[in-house]
Amino acid sequence: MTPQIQMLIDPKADMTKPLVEIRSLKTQFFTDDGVVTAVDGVDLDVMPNRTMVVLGQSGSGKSIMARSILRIVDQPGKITEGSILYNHADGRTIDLAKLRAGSPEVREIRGKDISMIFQEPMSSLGPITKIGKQIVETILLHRNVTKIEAKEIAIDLLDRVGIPRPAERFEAYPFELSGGMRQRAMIAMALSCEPRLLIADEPSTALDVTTQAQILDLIAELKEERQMGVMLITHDMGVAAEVAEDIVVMYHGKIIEKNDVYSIFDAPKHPYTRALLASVPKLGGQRVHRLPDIHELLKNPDNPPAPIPAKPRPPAGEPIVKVRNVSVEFPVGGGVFSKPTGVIQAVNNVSFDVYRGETFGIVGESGSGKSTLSRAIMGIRPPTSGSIEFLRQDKPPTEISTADKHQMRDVWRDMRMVFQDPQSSLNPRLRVIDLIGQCIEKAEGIGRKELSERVAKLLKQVGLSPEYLLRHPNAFSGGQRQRLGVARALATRPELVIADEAVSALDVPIQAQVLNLLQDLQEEFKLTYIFISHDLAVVDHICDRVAVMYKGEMVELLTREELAAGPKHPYTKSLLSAVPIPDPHLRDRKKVV
Amino acid sequence: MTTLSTTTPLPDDTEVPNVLGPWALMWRKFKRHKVAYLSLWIVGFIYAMAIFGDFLAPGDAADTNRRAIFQPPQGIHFMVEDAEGNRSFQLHAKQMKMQIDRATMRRSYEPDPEDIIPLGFFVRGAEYDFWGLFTWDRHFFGPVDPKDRVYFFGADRLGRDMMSRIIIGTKVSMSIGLVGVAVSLVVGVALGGISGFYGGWIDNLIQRLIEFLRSIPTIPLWMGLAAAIPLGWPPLRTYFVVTLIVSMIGWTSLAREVRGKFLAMRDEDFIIAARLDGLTDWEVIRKHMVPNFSSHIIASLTLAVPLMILAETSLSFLGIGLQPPIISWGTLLKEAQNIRSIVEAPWLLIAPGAMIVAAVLTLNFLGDGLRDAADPNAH
Repeated sequence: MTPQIQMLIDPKADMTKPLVEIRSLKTQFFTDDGVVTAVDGVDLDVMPNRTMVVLGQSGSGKSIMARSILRIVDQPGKITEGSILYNHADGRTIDLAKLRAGSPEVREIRGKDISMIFQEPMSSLGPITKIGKQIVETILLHRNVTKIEAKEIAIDLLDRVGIPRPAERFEAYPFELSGGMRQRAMIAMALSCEPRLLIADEPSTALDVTTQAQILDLIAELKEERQMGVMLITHDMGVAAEVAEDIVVMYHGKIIEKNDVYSIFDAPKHPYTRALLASVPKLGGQRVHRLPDIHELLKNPDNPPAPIPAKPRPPAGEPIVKVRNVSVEFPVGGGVFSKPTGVIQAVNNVSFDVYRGETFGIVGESGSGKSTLSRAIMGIRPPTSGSIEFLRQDKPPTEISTADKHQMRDVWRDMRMVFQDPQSSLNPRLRVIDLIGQCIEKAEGIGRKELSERVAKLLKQVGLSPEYLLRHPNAFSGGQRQRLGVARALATRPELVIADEAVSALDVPIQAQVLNLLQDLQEEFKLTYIFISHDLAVVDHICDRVAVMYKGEMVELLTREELAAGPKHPYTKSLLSAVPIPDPHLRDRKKVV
Repeated sequence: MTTLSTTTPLPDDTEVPNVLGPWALMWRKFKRHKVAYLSLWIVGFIYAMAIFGDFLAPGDAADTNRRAIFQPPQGIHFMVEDAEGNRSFQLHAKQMKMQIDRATMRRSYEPDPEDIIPLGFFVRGAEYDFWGLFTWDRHFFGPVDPKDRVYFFGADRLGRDMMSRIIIGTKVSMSIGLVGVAVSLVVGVALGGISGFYGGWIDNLIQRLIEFLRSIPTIPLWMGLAAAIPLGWPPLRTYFVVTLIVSMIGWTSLAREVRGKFLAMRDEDFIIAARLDGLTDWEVIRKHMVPNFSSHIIASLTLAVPLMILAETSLSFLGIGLQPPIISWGTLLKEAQNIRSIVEAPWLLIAPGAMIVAAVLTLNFLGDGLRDAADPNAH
């Protein structure tokens, strides 16, 4: 490590004085539909050498609050009230809220004293500039060093954030690095001017759990080393429990609770915080019948209903899907005049059975082939080799891999899918009746009146009011849209439903509601689920058996009890240990990464 | 610590707000674009002019007048003075008297303050056949006496009224844009759609065809095709062939745009969901893909209309498009092709030129506004 980055903190710096004092901050968005108050009277002190986690659901105003500090709120947002006092190291105090967003004073602080890292490093790094050059530019902008010195600093930083062969990677373009490496490079850039405060907005949300654990460790280490303040914004209770020293809970633009991490997790005062913590699915332990519903928790905040243990599952029935030696390959390269140069083995020789009535989980990190496998079962992308047999109750078995279009249309009535993103999986131009009803219309050719009755009934079954038949999907919130997705999947009374990351895009309380809904519907409709997720806690909550995928192969297939007792495969072990546990007392447990 | 106020909404309430539909949102965004909104009115007015041209024109566009050759524009006056000097309100124009300079053989016109042409609304004038529906002789505005002639925009070398000719020409010029765009739309969406939806060698073939067509210099291509139109063909058939020629190139950019949209949308979750719902490819395209980019198509079509208008104008100007006696802005401009006309009668250039510029500009503004309104990411 070079002297430049060892310089660190001024010993005279006052560690008790807050870096940033936010007072009754109000940030509003002036839209066509009226004024939206994103941040509503927030008071907050950000201390040096502390990790403060801002916890909240999407839309709680946590990101806008952080962006207000740096004055990078998107149009048409404006700070309308309050002050953001920044205390310079030399004792000066300036009010960021009073300055013009692009003024020299703000720009001097931005990047130099306070820097920020974002969720998606690919979109915050310039795609056509080498990593090294981007870091050097930031250094040259804020520090009085020569180009050669700046390069040295940059390489040291890359080394410090754990990028192997930093001198080589200095010359790399962002697309040449993996997601985790890109986030490390982004952190290196953010640290290049030795900021006193690092704001990290969901820094690990787009990453796999194992990478997430590494990035969070890195941020914690760097904070200790540089004694800087860290403000980490997340919706993930597990992440908060792993890294936080202080926690601020935001809800509807207001801070509803702030305290140190142990007090928040052990004795949450605010009913919403309590409800939030209770609705997280927990890995291992007693299996509960249903996850607590936030509405019920908030109605009765003082004595929450005791969790009901799960009913013993009925013994597994006959197989409904038989997957034998399935491989899916993607050709790489090739163009008009050339043959593909190679193949990517997305799924490699996978075999398993799914039994009627069970919930079969497939878990794995991004790129493990779990989605490709689900699409092969669904018949959207036929496997390169192997066989997938779909055994329905009153129909002859169908071999998916060789079925023609006509057969597939019939299969798709009994095998349905719930998609990950409720936004992109619902056609914005269609009304609810057509979104949900078109498969019924197609399968049964019933009239409009009967169709609207059927769809209204489905809406009721997924917990939505039947009067929304003629609405467009943009009128619904994320959780409600996912309910529409579930209703669409159930419309043709299927036997098997494949849920591909069906709850991953949802906030925790809504995730709990949708999981409960899926469980209720399973009983009501006698469904079999194939449940695909990267989230072990969710899989552990809902699934009877879990298949673990790693690099296209199924490394382990275990029952929930076996998972709880401890997996055998080292990959499953490391996956399990990397999952952030929403309990700060467990943060020092040994991790196998 | 604050307590949870009862007014804060619960997360994921069961209430669903009544939000505007996609088209209503687009309209609201469009209305905020002031220039585009104004352009919409102007474009609407120009098309109204095309439809009700015969009624709006003050006179007969084909009526020649030896005493008004190259007559300059006449102004409209409001007050008349009778013999006793009493002023009274009477819309009128002053009759122009022609004098010929024998030495230079040039005509010059002087307004005659004594000889006035009373003007009025809904007057009787030349008879016309309104779109083949009925014959009428009423005109929106013109001389009260059907025998009088008045030239607000001046007259051409045969003494024909430019204003009437421009108004009548709107019909051909503006509709050639629409018809041309309609042809481009059908060809462009069909070929672009096939190209984007199926991909593979079909896509390759269509894309190379588009590149080939676009690599041919347009003017020589048009000239070659127009030269192939037999002179003996009736004007209407020539008109349709010219629209086809003009849309030869027009469909290519639309096909590319449609292909891009198809490619981007083909792997969207909601398209896969629609396929899983059992819809055929054609139903997926018709019910899911087309509605999602129809707003973009409308915007690009609006932007294509002015190109078509300009293409017709340039063809007719070069004398290879529409031929007199068909009246279009292009054939009117052709009259102003020589220096003598421009020096002696600049209105021959200015009046149709101004109309073309106005139509093209407003259509462009309108198209820009529509495109911004259709794009959810535009600010």
